[in-house]
Amino acid sequence: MSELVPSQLPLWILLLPLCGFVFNGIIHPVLTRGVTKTNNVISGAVATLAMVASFVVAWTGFRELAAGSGALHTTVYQWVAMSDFSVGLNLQLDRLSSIMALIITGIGSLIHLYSIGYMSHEKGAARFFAYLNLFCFAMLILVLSDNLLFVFFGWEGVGLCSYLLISYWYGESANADAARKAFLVNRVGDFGFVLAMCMLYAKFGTLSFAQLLSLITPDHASYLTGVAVLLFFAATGKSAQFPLYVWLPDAMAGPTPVSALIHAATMVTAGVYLFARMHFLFELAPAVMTTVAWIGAFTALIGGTIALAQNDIKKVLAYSTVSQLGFMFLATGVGAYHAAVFHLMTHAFFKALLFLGAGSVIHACDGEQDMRKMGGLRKALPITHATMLIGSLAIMGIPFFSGFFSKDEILFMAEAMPRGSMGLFTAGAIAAFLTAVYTYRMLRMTFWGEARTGIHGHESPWVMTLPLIVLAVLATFGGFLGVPHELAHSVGLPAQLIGEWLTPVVPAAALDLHAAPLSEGMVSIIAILLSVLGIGLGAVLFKRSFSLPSPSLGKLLEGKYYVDEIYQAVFVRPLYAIGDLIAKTLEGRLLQNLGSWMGIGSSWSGDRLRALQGGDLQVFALVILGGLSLIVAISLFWTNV
Amino acid sequence: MDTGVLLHVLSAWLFCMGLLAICIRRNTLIMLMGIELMLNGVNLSFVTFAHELQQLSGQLQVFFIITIAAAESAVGLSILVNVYRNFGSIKTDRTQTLRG
Repeated sequence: MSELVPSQLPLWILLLPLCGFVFNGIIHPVLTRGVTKTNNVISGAVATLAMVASFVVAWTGFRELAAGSGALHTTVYQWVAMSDFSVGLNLQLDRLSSIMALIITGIGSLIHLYSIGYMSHEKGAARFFAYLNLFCFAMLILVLSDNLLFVFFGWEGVGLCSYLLISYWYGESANADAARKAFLVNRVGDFGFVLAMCMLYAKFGTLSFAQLLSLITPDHASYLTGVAVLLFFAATGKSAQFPLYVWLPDAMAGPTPVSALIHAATMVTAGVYLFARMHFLFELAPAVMTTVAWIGAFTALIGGTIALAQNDIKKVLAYSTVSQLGFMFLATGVGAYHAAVFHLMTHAFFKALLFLGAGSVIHACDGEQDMRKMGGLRKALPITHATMLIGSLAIMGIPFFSGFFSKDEILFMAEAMPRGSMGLFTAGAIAAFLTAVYTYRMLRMTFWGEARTGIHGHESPWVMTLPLIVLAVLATFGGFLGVPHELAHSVGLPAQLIGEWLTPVVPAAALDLHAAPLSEGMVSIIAILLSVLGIGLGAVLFKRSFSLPSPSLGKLLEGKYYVDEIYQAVFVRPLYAIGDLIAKTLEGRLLQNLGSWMGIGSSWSGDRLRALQGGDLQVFALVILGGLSLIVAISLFWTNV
Repeated sequence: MDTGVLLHVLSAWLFCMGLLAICIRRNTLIMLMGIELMLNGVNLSFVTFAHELQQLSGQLQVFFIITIAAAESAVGLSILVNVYRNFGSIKTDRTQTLRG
């Protein structure tokens, strides 16, 4: 860890979104006497300004770090201070968290701005903007905290806010169900987080990253394997990895900006962030890391294949996110944290762009999400089409768009790192190939060809198109922060800026570039070929119909491998059955009867005891006599024995 | 039988008869008499003990009890008169206002 510099900047990054939340959540509704009477433009503008201001502060912090100072550190307050245990809200803006903070506040600002347009038809969107601000606040706590306990606070905070945002339109029971599902599946993962914290505290007596870093040595490797497994479990929940990815596609029930913010740019990357932050721990559990890599690769394949057969435009993007997160886990698993963070960043650019573009399409089509009813929207939505095209090229991995560099880096690391293998590389390459196919299908179904139903959309207002354009620029040029070494040397560009930036916090991947089975250039060529082949295959497959050539396969993919149904049968139904059983026997018979018995018993004894208080002198006298006799008898007994 | 024991038995019997009167008779006047009877039973045993142990304090106690008994019967009788005025009877079963 680099030295700590006291600074108030991290605190302000946090406080500004919180101020926005307080304004939109409390002050504004109180002033207008009711949240439904709030003014959308005012609340949206305040929320956006809060995020922009936070971004400016984050940028200032970033500049200070770039100027060579150590991590910026704030002690806000001491929460727990016992003799040997102290936890405070200590904020720390170092090289890793500054990138995260810039992504959250920067893309967050754009999404807030976009939301003003997207939510303009809503009544009283102050609630929405309050949730958005609160979400960003929680996410910033997650990335800025310098100890695990407050990371967990943020971790739970984003969980809560995602619940609130997914069920923003709570009138529909499907939305409420989706929100509950997201919340509960995340809780399953959080269980692992809590246990991991307990284990770490039991062994090391601290939860601070810096202290853990200095205390953990290879001697603890066997103990830490358990911790690593639990933390990984937590990360699978938050970052929608197999087997806990099922909540993310359902979470598309929320408003589209929410999908862009939560499910593309911020919350789902929390797991990747956790890995990068705790790398010193995970490095001591190589078996777990190999599992992480394979789970990531597997998730990338599952998400990619399911995305092939979805007809809801947001569902395609949701499974695409699952798949891309799989790439990030693949990278962390082999130990290439910088590649994971790099892909996290470029993915935040292009996936936020794609989601917002999809939102623009949905907005134009009056809430229609089924791509089978779209088609031919290119003319009606020129800006949306152009920006979505750029985002798609980026995610497909077309050269010189951002996704090309980050995905290539991951594919290269998958085979070049000591823990990598050709198997992982192949899985990643297939997933990359699938990405091109389903992205092409989405574009083809939505924008190209002839209009299939009478939907004739209109271009969105500037508050929505401006963020699209900015994100399109980022998605185009963002990749130049991580140009691979070989290419950089041949054209004279700076190589791996992001990797170098992260090196003080997260050690760079130590590997011999020339010892890899496939060189960087080879990987790039293969990846380009796969992308082009994917697009070509998409063009052939989806020329006339948009379903897969094999109906049974299409059905399997459309049904998402029936994983939800399996969970339903294996976990949900038995739990319901147990709950029913308890309700009927324990609750229905035992507890209810116990209650009745207690009532019957007290009224019976009351009936008997009532005579004592009847006001009859003789009875009083008799009772006194009885008590007296008892006392005499007892005292006689005690004195005799 | 020794006179002392006989006197003790008599005093206990008096006490118990007084107690019995209190417990079973419904007439408040009789109950008051029962109380006096109990006091006299106690007096008797005090006197007997004083005689047996050759100590004056027991006899002294009896004087106090007689005084208090006089005061008690005065108070008791006035309560009794009030009860009669309020309830029209001095039977205890008429005064059970708390009867459930």
